[in-house]
Amino acid sequence: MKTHAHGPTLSPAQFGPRMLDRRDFLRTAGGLAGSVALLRLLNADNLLAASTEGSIRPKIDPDRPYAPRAPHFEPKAKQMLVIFCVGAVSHVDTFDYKPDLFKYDGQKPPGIPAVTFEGPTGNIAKPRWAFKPRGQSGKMISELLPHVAALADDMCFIHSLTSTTSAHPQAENFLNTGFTFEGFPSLGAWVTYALGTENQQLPAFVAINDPRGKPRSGKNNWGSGFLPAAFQGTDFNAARPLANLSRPDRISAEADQRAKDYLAELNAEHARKFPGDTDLAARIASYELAGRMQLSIPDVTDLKSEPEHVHKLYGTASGTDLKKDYAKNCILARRLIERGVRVVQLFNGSDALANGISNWDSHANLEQTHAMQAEIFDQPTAALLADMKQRGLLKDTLVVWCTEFGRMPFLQANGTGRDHNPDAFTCWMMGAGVKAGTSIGSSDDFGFKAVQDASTLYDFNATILHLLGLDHERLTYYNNGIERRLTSVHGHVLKQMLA
Amino acid sequence: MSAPINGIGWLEQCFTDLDTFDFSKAHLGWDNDYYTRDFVNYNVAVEQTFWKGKAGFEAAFDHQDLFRRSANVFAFQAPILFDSNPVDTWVEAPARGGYPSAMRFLKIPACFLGSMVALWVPAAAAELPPAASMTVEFDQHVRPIFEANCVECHGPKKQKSDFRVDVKKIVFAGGASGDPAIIAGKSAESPLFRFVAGLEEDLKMPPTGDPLTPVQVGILRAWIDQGAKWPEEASAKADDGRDWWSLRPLQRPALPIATKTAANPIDGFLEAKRAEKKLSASPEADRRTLIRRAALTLTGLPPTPEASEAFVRSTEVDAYEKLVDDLLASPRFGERWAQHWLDIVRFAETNGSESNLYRRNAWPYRDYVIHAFNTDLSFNRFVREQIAGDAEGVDEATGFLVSGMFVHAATVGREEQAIRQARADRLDETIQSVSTALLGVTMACARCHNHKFDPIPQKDYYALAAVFQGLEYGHRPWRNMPDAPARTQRADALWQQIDTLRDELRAETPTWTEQWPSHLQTRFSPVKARTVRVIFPSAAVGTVDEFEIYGAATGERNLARAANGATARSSKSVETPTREIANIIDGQFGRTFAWMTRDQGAKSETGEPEPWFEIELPAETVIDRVAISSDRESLETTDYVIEPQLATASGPRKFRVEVRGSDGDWREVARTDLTTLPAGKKGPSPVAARDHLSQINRLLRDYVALLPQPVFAGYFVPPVKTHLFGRGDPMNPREEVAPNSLTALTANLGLTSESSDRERRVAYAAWLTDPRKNPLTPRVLANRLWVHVFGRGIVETPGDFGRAGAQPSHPELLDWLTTEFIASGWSAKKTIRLLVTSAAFRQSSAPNETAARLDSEARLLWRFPPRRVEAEVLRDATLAVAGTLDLTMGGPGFRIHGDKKRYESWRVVDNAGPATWRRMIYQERMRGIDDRMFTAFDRPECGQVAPRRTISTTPLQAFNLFNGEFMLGQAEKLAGRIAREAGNDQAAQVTRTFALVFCRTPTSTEIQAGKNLVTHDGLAAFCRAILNTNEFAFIE
Repeated sequence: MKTHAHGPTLSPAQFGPRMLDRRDFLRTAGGLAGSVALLRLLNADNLLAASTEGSIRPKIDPDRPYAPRAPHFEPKAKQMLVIFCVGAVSHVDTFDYKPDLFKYDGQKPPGIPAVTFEGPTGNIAKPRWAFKPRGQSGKMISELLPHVAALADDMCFIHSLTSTTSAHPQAENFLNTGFTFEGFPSLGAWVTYALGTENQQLPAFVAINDPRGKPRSGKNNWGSGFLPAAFQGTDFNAARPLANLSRPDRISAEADQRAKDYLAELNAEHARKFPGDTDLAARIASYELAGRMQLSIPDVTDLKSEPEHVHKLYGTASGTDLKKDYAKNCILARRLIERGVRVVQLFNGSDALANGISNWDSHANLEQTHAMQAEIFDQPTAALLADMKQRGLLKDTLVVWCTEFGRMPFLQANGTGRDHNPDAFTCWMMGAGVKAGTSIGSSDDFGFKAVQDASTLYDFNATILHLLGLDHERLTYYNNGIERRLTSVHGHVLKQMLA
Repeated sequence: MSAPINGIGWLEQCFTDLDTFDFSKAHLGWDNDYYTRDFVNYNVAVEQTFWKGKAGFEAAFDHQDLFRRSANVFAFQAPILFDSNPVDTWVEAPARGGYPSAMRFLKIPACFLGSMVALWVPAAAAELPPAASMTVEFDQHVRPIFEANCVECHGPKKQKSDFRVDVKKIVFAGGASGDPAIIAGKSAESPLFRFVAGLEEDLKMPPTGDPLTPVQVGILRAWIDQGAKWPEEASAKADDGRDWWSLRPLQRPALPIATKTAANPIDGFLEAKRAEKKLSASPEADRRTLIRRAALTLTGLPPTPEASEAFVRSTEVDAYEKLVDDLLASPRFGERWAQHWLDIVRFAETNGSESNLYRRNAWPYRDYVIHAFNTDLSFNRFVREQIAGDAEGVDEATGFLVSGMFVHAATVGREEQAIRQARADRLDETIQSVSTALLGVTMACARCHNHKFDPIPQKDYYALAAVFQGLEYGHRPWRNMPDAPARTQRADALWQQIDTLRDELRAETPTWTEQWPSHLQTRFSPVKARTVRVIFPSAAVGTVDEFEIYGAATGERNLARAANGATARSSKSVETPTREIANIIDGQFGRTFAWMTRDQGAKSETGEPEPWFEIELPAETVIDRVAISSDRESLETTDYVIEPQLATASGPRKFRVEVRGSDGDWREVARTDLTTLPAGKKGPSPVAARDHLSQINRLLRDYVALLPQPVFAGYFVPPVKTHLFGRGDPMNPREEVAPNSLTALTANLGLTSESSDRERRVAYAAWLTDPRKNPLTPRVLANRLWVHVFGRGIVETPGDFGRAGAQPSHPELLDWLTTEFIASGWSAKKTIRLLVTSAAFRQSSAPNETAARLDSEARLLWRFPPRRVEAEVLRDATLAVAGTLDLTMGGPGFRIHGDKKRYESWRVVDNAGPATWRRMIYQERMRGIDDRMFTAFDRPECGQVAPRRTISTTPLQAFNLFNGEFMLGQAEKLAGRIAREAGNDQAAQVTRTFALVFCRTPTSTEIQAGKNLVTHDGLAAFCRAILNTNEFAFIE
């Protein structure tokens, strides 16, 4: 029997248009809609599948939707940084070492499907970069990502992930929302819905977009779906501030303050007519929070305060412009984590501008494309991880590195690129609660299909929630007839990844 | 001879013992010469492999399951034997283990190779426990076994997995899995038997405690094999879930005793419930509050100060009723209420997914809904037209069916599984719209299994899928577009003009190429042709998505279509199925399936390769024109995609056309070169001809623009047979399902798999709107009207009237209202009038501590529950008070986004300027895009259906409203208006602002504070604060 903070609460107020009103929790048991609750409890006892049994719905104070809330059980991690490489990184060219690819390079053995996502297939192709053992663990990682590779001892790799789709946008949705369709809440939204956040001066969930733009399924990656909009990620990056954060230049700071004061006065006067109205109070509170964020967000995005050696470590002044900008985003990510933001999502890559320029997608010219993306990604990301480690941030922070699927061990008919491979790919985690220096699961000799401990992204997401102290089967939200979960009706915690 | 398979993938270890195989006879080679066959119906794929010097097979069960890892089909330990088998027959053998029953049989061609090798899975029958050798009687022998071992968890008390063994129907139909538990005569295939016999590693029954004895197992096996006879009277009657409030027939309840004769009956019902809790209604709200509440509720715009003043001063007894009638008669009413409907079906003007392309002419459906509300189109007709408007001459109405997203073929990819899945997903979107909007049933739950809460078997889902099996997402001609006759007339006149010009042109040149908006048309003198060849002078051909051939005598018949017997071949194509030559005569436009050359025909005189393709007609025919295009699909269906994606420039612009008659000689009939002059200015050499041609090209553009435009309302195709998909997996089709509606309502639409598409939809629409057969639809609709008047429904879950949803707070009231709604002729306006003229709507929203303690959400309507307005109301009201609202109705929406490349996201470029000052319902709606302004106000992203909006509060809203360009701009406009209307006196300015924005006069304190701010920072700063207030953002 698991212990949890709240006990099962099945509040009919969930049906309401507003976020949960804490008073409802005390009141509705015998109320009208209480019959619904009763029915649902009966159902849970008798007829219904386990999926609705013991749903734990966070108690949300509409005045303070971001107030910290207790997890279901003692968490290993309190915060989370998700680094998402858009476009699908080739696992066989990076983290999943397959000697047979060298051996059979250029051959076309049977078993290779005639057609994959983008069309006809070509021959087996060896990795384009040499592999070397790294760290104490001796983990074989390619030379494509030398800086990141150096941190192998801190990582837990999973080589047997699978997705359900070969198409980028659906796969992004699947990775980040648990469904291939659009309009479902993102992982970050689920987490902030459950846990709120520690720092009330900053958004609970920040999505740092790539300098080049948004990923392919855009806002779905940090959207709130059918959860209240309060739980959507706030997207800004080091180069592009949050929209509408600041007063326009033509309004002076003093005038701005006077307008705010007057507004506060009007709202306070108005609220006196509706004592105890939580909706009005929540809206007043949101302006106050916005006011605090107007100070705290520019503060956190101001990278000038970072010393020179930090800039150098991350590489904000060397390499291509894209790399410099991504490096700044990495510093921003660390600063947000440092200040207690619950979920930070850091994107590397954006929607498709042209093949290979904006993200890792490498249907042609794999070597150039991946090398170009790696130049942007490697040093800053490694710096971010090392810096976090050095500052002790990994004690409470879970770091997840992911990509939407893998790439094929063979080339496409064009002979220069690898097609999408949803049947085997690699992601890794590090930090709080993660078993460092290990690898779990494996793909076959070619990295073509997951064979040992084949796992789904449901499992992956269940594990993330678990590390944050959340039971993925019990974190639910009623929408249109279904108690929805991040993991749909699937998912098992990957215990081997846990420290 | 045998090797266990214990993994998936490259299983060399399995193929170590190959003595009996003889693969050496060149049936297998190193170079792709292997055999793959996907027996999708049997969920088995078998591949012969030859690898690393060894040979063998790969066998995969059910691609989907492997793909999803929902089953490890090789988890069973029984050996798979490879055996040589010279018999050229199918071998059918039940495989042991596996997962759900659909996968339990392998059916493999024993002789799929010349080498006569078969994959043989040992027959499970051999392993089955022996059957009892006696005649088994259900009552005497079987029932006691069930009762002793199964009924505790699968009986009247508990129904784990929705399964019970005491009900015959459930045993034979299956529980949650939807798979029959027993198949009469086939014990080996009957899951129940396999479970109790311990044949399934993962699923043994009973799960704990003693297993069945061998004798019991033998009895069950014998019983099943003897036909599983089970007398009806020996079966318990299960509550099949149909006795549920929303499924019961509609009955008009008597009015509660509390109803006063003169009162609105609604108040009688409400009063009766309130009395139970010792609550009472609040007194009537003051008139200023009331007019603002009514105006915002009915029109989404605040009243003008003048209207407000007149209402306050009116002494007429029915002043309020008159106000309501005026508001209902306002065209603003339809604009407000249409949005509610569009929300439910997540109407948007892009397709969603990666490219998220704009749907040209999706907006007519939006206008249709607005018009329906404004003209009070009876709701039953409204429903019928949205399902089958094409049968009633209202083409745009079926935009309802395709309001959801779909994934463009290019993003679906080329894999069969993905293509089938995408089709199933498109139908699912339609089913979600229909079931959420019109049935209040969460049909989507039954896609993979029987509904867990409601009496909706999985089959019902597929019966509904069958109703819409003839629907495809896309455009069709908008035959009833406004002024269609006039347009057609003008188009005909233009066509005559064009023909005259062509005659004149013909006098000068026998051949020319016209540039139509979406394709090129090359005309030449009539010629007998058996084969038509197009030759390109260089390899820079671009993409050809379609090629068409016409003749005067054969009219509009495209002779080049494969469907009409033509065949195509070409110089070497790019080696992709999506680029092969057959694509240009498949009748499908679009670059996803097109032809692209990879060289390399004969060298021309200049040494360039000359790619070519040729079409052979089934018989010699006289032809006089051909059409060629590059991406006709995009040019005809979308906008705002940046060149050259859409341009014909990326397609062929220089080519010659040759024909060969039956005599066998090629002759050139046309030569086209559009490469040297800009589009539209190019023609054959003589100046006169060029002028003629450029005139023709210009007129053609006008002509096409005048023709009935394609409307994004779906198109209809002959329906294929519908199959139930096991576990919702389109790779696992099972029994055929005929179109029908809910069995829980004993629906019988009288349709079969042979019924035409239109018959299906017409019959379904008739069923939906027949309250004697279907009480759900009118109940759902009546409840929705209530939701948008009072903020919450009588049923809190307007899209779910099932067991997982909420029950009605006032069941009698809901039924009374529903019957009233029907009696009014399904009139939304009359019903809404009834609601807003109730005392419940007119009462004050002031809080009351005692009442709040009993009913904080005012579900019992002891007060009017105040609520924050939606994004649209906030924006429209801001424009209205600032005096900038552009009331232009209908037509294409205003844009806030820029153009984009095909795979780019939409970017907001102008969300504040004058071009955006129409009502927000007219904003072009891009799916899943954050507008950086109002999305933060819980505006649906149009991904999933939104049976209701959430209302949440976030600091992003404060940022957007306080600092956003739109609001700052409007604050300045409002300030300008105040200055004009109130002059220079600051007190008058503050007073006028309060009148405009809040419909009230300010207190002296408020005036003083306002004046202070105006003095310091000017009127615009004051207006900025005012537009951010709670008072402005709430309906009180």
